[in-house]
Amino acid sequence: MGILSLLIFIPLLGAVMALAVRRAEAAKWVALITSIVTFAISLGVYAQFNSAGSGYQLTEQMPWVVLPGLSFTYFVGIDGMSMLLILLTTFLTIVTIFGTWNSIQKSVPGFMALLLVLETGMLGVFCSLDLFLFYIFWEVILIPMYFIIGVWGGKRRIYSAIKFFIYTMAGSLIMLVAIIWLGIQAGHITGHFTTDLTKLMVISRQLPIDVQHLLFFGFALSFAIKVPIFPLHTWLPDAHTEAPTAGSVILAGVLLKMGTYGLIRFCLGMFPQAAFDYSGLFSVLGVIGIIYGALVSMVQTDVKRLIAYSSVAHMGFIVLGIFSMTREGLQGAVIQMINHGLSTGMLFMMFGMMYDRRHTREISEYGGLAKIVPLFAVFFGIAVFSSVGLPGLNGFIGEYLTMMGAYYSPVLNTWSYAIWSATGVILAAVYLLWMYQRFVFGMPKGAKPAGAHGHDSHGHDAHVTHEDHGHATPDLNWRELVAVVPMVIFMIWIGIQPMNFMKTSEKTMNQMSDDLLKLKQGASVTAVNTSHSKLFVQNMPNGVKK
Amino acid sequence: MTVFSISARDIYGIMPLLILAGTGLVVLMWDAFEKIPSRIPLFLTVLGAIAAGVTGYVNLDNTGRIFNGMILNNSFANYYSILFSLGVIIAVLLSERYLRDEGVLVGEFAGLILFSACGMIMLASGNDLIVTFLGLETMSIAFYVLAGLFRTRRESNEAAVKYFLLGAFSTGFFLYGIALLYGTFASTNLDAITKALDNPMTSHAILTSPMFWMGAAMLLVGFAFKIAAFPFHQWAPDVYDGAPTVVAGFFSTAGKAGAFAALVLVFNIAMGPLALDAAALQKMQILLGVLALASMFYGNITALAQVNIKRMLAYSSIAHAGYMLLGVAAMNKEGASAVTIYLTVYTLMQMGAFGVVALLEKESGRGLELSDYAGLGRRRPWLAFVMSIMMLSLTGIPPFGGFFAKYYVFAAAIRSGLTVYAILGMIATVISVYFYLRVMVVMYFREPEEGGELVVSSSGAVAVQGDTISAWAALAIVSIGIFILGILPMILTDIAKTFYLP
Repeated sequence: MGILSLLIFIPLLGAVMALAVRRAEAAKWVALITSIVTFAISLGVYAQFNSAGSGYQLTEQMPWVVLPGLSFTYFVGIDGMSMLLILLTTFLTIVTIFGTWNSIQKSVPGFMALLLVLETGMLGVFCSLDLFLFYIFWEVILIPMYFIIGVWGGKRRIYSAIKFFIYTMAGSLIMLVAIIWLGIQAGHITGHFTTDLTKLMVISRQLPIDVQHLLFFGFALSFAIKVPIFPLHTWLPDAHTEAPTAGSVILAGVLLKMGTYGLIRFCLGMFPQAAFDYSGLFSVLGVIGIIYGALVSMVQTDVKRLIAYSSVAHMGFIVLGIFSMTREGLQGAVIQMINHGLSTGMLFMMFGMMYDRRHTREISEYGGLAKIVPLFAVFFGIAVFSSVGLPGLNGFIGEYLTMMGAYYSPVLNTWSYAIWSATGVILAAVYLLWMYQRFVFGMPKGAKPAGAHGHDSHGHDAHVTHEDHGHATPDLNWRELVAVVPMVIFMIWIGIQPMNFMKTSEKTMNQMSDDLLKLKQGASVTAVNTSHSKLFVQNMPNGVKK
Repeated sequence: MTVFSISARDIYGIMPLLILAGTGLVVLMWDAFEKIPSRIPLFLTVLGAIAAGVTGYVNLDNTGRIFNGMILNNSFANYYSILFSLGVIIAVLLSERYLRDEGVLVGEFAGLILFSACGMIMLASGNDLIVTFLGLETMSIAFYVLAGLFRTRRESNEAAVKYFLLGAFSTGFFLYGIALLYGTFASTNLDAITKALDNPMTSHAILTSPMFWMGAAMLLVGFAFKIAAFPFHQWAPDVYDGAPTVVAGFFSTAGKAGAFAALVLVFNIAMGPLALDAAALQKMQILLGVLALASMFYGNITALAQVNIKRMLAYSSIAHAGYMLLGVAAMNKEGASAVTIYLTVYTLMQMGAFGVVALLEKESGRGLELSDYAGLGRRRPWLAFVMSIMMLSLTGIPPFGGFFAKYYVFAAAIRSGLTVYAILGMIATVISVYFYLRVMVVMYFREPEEGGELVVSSSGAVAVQGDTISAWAALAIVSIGIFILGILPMILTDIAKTFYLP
């Protein structure tokens, strides 16, 4: 068993153990230790990963199901993009478990087990190189998420859980047909049914162009639902809002990335021509998502719903970056995936901490938190600024690169996408800062006398600093600080030294971009492109080759 | 003129059938002579079924025909013998408490289950339409009696009569179909049918003759009744609802498997060479494909509206018949394997679901509403867990067996060019997600209603009254089976590969 298989299945083992210990405290510790071990293994994977190498690394392949004409294999491996997403997944899982330590009260072992099964599914998705294996992990994720929303969620949890499940399932079943169909088409060309991604990346390009288009949409629909791309986003506000904090963090932090990951890995990887042909459509939808998400965010009165719609906007940047097909755009998309995972994950988590204290999601119920809980206000502020895209923090890098990619893209061939998406950045500042202002500044509101909070989950270990003010909303305790400080460190690190992270996926993304842009003959804007990318990213090799 | 004689090879070939029939006779007699009811007949039945399964396994690598070409003795037939034996074991293990509570004689029940399994084996090994017909009747007559097993319960009687009348009706169609095919091929032997269709000299005349198509269609109608495919399904919900729960589970799994085995033998394997003629293939695929799609959509949409869990499972079984028919419609070898794998997994998951329902059922058919399951996840965590596995597997979500089963069926359909049908089938699956999920919603997301049927057993422990070790053994077999088949489907696919050896 190789290190990737170990990485994927260790959380599953932890899930079984969390169920076996049965006691709530013990289950939490099992989950935490498992997630830390998984993170350590992912660092081990990172150590073995060679970011200068091309193709897929650390691959493991063994026959799995052998039936004449319908065989597939257990095939895992990673490239630069999956490496970053694996690190994000293992990191966020620890932070989530630790940061929401006391917010789950009922059936804790079950919750922790589901969270770990979810981790297995997510890691599996990012490691699979066989379409079939990918599909299985993709679907496995539905079950734990469904239960996490449905059992531990808010008031409308049942509606949201079912909506989430059916929406995703509808998309993925179409993808299953596409996978089988593609495998059979490949069989017609090579004589062997195959769902091996590395082989299909070559074979699929020999298919007739209309078949490529159909297959492209078969895959893209499923990913577009997951991202979500406007107009398929309606499940997201419900699911994010009703999920418990840990569910929201993982959903926003990692699950949405599976959609954009799939778009890059499968839609662009296997059907470059089709992706090229429809890049305009997807870029337009991306830009609509950016502006629409921002506008809808602005009028939300529910903090979680506001953050959820801001996800629609942020994911729009990633889609735009992907379909610009330039090096900058794709690299920006990858780094923006990480950024969004960190910043939106942190927003959800910090709001969850406040929700555990106040039990309301209405912005109007809050106010003056800066006076009551200054530490919270500072860290929440950093998350907000990161999400806005303030230079010096991570969000700026991703948004800047995707817009630059869209601006110079020889594929889109117009700067209007970049201009329109830039308005999204301004709108983001409007809705997030306005929310921050109403949430954190102004007169303290809704704080109840100390006695009213005796039942609160955090009661025993809370670090109550403001007893003397008569408010029982305690500031962040040491546990919560330990959870948020690493996220802030990464936000600043990415903001100041993005190349430390981007170099991991650089080779992969550059190859993909060059591959895609070969389709476009005579790209005249590449000269300008080069100088600008040099300004920003020193290590990026010169320009886009013709 | 060959002299008809029975050799030792013939006897060995039908050993599973003989063992089951023998066990059936023994348990029936046991009841007649036993003063105090005991569990011995059940024990004997399980032993007999295990023995039948083992002999089926021993015979698995056999090839050829026995009884003068009337009976198949190959991996296909013997594989189904194992499957039916497994169905018998699960049904009998699940029914122990049920029979005791309802005061039904064990021998009677077990005997009828065993005789119906004999009929199924004949269906799966019939190489002649006459044998197929005999098998169908043996199975059905035992089923009619089983449906009315609770003599004092009105629903049970109604179910039996309804089943009998519609079943007799379908038998008429079936026989008429055989007659017309005999008129076409001058033989009822499946090998003769294959040979005639394989021969370019004769096939064209046959495939353009209305007699052949009428015969095939009539035969299909007869089968459609037995597998409860739309629009020949009307008996199914009422019969499943009225019949004892375990029996309904057995009807909808092993019974369906028997009819499907014969359907695959006749349409996929015997009429396989039909695929050489593009026009005929298209005609047959439309015939079967439309039947499949109609069953999927009708079953899944109607199941959405059900509040009674047995009726919901009945409608879902109509939809599953549709998925399997899509495998038949593929008219290729993958299709036959796919249907067989689907039937195996389906037998496990549907039996498991009916088993949980049976364990939760109270006297005289109460406790069957969906709302009775509220909060089951808290009160009976293991039972709710098993039910969740069954529901997820029936939905077709990995890593459970139901997913691979569905994959093979749809892959076979896409391979033979039925991509549009497969996409529509996937849409039907999405519809089904809702009502399978609803069971889990009720079990896990809702609190139990005060004064509800099941609140009495509030201890929350694993086994409350009514659960027996045997029932839990059965549920363990199906749960583990579904999980293993989901992760290691090659256990089945390796066997399925050998189906086409002569």
